[in-house]
Amino acid sequence: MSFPRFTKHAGLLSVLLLLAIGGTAFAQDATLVRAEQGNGLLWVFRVFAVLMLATAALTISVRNAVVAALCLVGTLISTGVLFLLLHASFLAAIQVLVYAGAIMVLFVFVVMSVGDADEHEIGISSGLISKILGLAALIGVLFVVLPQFKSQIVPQAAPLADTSDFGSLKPIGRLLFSDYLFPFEVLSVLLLVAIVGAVMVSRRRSADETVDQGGAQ
Amino acid sequence: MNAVIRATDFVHTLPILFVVGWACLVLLAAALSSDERRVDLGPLSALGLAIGICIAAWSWSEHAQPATGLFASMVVVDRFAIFFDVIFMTAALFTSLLSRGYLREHGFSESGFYGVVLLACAGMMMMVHAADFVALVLGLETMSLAIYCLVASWVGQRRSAEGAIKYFVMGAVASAFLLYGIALVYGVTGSTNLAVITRKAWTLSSEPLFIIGMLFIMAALAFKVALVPFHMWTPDAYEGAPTPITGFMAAAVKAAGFAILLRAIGTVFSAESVVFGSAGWANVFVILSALTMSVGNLFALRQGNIKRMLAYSSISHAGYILLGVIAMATVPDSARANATAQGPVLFYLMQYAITTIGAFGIVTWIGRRDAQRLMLDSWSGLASTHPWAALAMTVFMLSLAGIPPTAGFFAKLYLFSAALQQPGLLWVVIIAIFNSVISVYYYLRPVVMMYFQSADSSEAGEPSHSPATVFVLALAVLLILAIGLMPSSPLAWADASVLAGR
Amino acid sequence: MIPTGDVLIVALTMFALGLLGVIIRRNILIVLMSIELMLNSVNLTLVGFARAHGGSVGTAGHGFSFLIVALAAAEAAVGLAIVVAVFRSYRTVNVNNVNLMKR
Repeated sequence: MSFPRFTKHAGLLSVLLLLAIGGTAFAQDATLVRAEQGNGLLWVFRVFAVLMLATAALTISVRNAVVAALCLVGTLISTGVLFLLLHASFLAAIQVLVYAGAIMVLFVFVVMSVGDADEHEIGISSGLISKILGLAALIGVLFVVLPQFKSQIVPQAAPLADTSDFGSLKPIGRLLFSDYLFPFEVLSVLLLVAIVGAVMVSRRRSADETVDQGGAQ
Repeated sequence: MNAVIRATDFVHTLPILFVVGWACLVLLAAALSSDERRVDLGPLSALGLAIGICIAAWSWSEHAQPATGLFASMVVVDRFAIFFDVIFMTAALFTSLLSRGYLREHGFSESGFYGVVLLACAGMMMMVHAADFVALVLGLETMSLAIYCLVASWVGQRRSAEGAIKYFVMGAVASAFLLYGIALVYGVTGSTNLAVITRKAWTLSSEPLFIIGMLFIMAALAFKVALVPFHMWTPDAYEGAPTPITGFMAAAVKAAGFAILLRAIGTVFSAESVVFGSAGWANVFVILSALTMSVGNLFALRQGNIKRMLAYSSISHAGYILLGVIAMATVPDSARANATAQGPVLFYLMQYAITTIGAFGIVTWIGRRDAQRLMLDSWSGLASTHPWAALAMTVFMLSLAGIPPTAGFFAKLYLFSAALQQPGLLWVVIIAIFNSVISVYYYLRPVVMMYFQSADSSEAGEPSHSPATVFVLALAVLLILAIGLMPSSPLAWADASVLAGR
Repeated sequence: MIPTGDVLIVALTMFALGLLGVIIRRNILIVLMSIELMLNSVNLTLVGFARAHGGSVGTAGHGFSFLIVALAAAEAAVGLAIVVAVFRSYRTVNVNNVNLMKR
């Protein structure tokens, strides 16, 4: 990676990350006092929604994969803040721990080990038709779906009682071991597949395996 | 949230639990096996799958009435699902026996491979037994992740990695669409349970948000069965995968995709306004079906690589099967629809699974480390050097083309006649028949190569002598001919396995 | 109170950004990150709806969302393993260079 560009982005990013972390603390306080009537929370929501989308846009547009990974961390932390605002405190914790922590470490690790992943240009060059179709579908989805979210059918939230434990660990834990027992166990099989499969795929070639045959039949 | 999970729930789901347990056993055996004491993993997993098929057969006879509400309404055990369990386990059994010789020939590492095949099979079984989108998604992902890994399992082989990465990216996007669609449906209906959503679908079916959610889900399922706008991954993934895995994908993954498509159409989409209303699902699917079979066949005509040819052929077969699914969906009376049109679809999927695994099995058998014989040109004169392989390949090709003494002929006959009973499907059936005629050309090309052209070189090379491979191929030929000569009892099983009236 | 519709719009926009990333980017690592964006947006949608439904229905949404986080982790692990395999055989992570097979 070219160093100067990286530092330039790093400055911007550290600002974003600081904002996100500071905002997390603020939002947590805010949810604790449950100042739901005021407009304050709505503004916190708007700020972090914009932050989330901005970092998401950066993720897909910067050239350098490490910078993209850092932007993605910003997106994920902002999403965590939105989760807190939506009373999903357990998921917010999971979001930061698992997503922003574990998955992103995995990403950065692979970026580092695979090395310089710079691409030469961003553009539509291969599979032109499929890309155009994809973009058309994307625009279509946005134009068709977005207005629907303001329709009557979308349920609206009711205020929660102060004593409600909605979104905390207890009801979710209870759910996972009663109604969701079967999916929860399937998840363990899924993780087993991921572990065994990842090891199987990423191991080095052993001595007696066929080497790459290029165009051979 | 007062779920009651009974001990009998575990008995009902015994086939799934058994396959998962056996997969763990195989993985453990792989870990403990050393160079001195080598455990033969292929036959070990085949043994487990054979026991699994017996358990499923017992379970099939026990479940004349579907058992619902298992694991807090997450799982349903009915004959429909068990029928597919048997297809998946048979496909996995054939695959693990075929893989044994293939892995040894090409010097693969065996560790992990068979365990992941079994876990993929378990994932498919969970998927068809799901009565809730949550369980369905997790089963689907278990299957998909296992298949991505199996496609990429040929370490150091470029095509394998290339096919896997393309498949993975497109598959992951499809999963994201599926999940987003489910999230929308959950938001509108407040539930992820198929039965609850079906009840609410009657009142919500004109709501745009609900329809968009369903559209996303359908697009993701169309990807899994490789219908035409979503088929781009198929040839690359099929070509790149180790050949026995390609057979497994064509047989089992396709059947699994159609199983959940049938279940979704049989339940959630049963609301008449969804099928016939402004959205016009049936019409969309009719066009997709015609496109899928035509595009698959036209591209198959131009392929010189046998794996790619079979990949495009599998796309065109998906088009035929979709025609049967439409025939089922367009009958307003659900009980009659399932009885008349669903049986042929199940029958078709069953015989297609056996035939396609057999065809890829031949490619596995005659391929050597130094001469994989993936191009059609290298098949010339095969009948004189490998007479049995040539004969078996001829049977599989005739069955894929749908020529009389084989199972493929009856499957097509039943499927098309079921479709013909629906008014308005006549023109698609004509397209389908026309396509079948075209397909005879490219299915017979390898046969002509093998029998009527002399071997161009001396690189004959014996087929690798793996008794397991020969056993599987002989069994597949016998099954195809037996089904072709006596189609009544397999068809009766298929008819008995249709979904209960919705 | 945060309107549900706003949450959904934000989530859909993120979904679209992720899809856009998959379509236009050729660096496979960034494509994988875009897929993570899409899954993250699914989670935000679910949490938004869960807040609106509340009660046990909402908790079910949270549970589903939790499972999706784990699913995303598994998917990322497998995807990155395949990327490493691709890189070992090609020495590149640029999707366009990954083109050995004949059309």
